[in-house]
Amino acid sequence: MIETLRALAEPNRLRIVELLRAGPCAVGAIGEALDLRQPQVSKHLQVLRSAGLVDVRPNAQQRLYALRGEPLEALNAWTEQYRQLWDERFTQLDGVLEDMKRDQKKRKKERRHGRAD
Amino acid sequence: MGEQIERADDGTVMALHGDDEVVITRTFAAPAALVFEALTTPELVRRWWAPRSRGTIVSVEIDRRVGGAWRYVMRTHDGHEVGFSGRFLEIDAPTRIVNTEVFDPFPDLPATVTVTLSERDGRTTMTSRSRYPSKEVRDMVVATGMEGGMRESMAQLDAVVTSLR
Repeated sequence: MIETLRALAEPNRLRIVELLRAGPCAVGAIGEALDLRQPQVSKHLQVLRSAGLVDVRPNAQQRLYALRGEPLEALNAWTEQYRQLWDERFTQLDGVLEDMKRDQKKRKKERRHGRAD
Repeated sequence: MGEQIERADDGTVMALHGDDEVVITRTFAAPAALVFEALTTPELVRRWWAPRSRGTIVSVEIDRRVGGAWRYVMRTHDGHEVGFSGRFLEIDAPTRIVNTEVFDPFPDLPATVTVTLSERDGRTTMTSRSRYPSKEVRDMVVATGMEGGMRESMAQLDAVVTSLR
C-alpha cells in the first residue's frame, strides 16, 4: 500500500499510469506521448514495476508495458471503506439536522402562539 | 410531509490530496449554523458520530473554545474501545474549525483537521481537510489500516478514518 502510494506520488509516474489505462505501450511511445526522455521513462517504469503497478509483455521486437489492476483496486477499496464509514456517519447527521430544523420550527410556532394568547 | 428525512443530493466524496492530506466533502440540507451546532455540541455528536453498523457511542466531551480539549470514544460491536482526542486551534462559528486529532494508540502522530462550512440557498457544504505530520505518517496510517483488515482491527482503521475529519 505504501509502495503504491509512493509510486503514484510522482507526477510523471502518475501520468504514465494514466496513459497506460488506455492500453499497453512501449517505452518510446510513452516518452513521445508525455514528452519525456527515454531514460527518464525507463527509470519511472522501473519504480512502477517494483510497486507491482506495471507488467512487461514481450511483443514481437518490443517490450510493452501494461497496467496491473490489483494495487489500484486495493487503493480504491481502502478509500471506499473509509468513504462508506463517513457516509454512514453523515447519513446519521442528516437525521440529527432534520430534528434540529423541526425543533426550531416548533419553537418559532410556540413563540407566535405565545404572542397571540 | 415533514417527517421525511431530507437527504443531500451529493454523496460523501473523499480524496487523497498532495503528499500528506486527505479531504472529505459532503453537502447537508441545513444552514451552516445548524451544521456547526451538530458538529460541536456533545449531545448532538453522540447521536451521529458512531456509525451504527460498526458500534455505539461511549462518551463525547467537547470544550468548545480555542485551546479547549475534545474527546470521543466509541465501542465497536466486537468490543474494542476506540478513542480520539485533540484540542481546538481555531473556532470561527459557524464557518470554520481547526483542531488537532490523535488516535489513542498513536499519541505522537497528531493530524491537523480543518473543517470549513459554506452555506448556499439553505444548504451547507462541509469540507474536512486532514493534514498528517508527513507523507510517511499518512502512508503509514493508510497502510496500517489496510493490512489490519477491516473487521479484525476496527480500532486501527478508525484511526485513519477519524483523522479524515
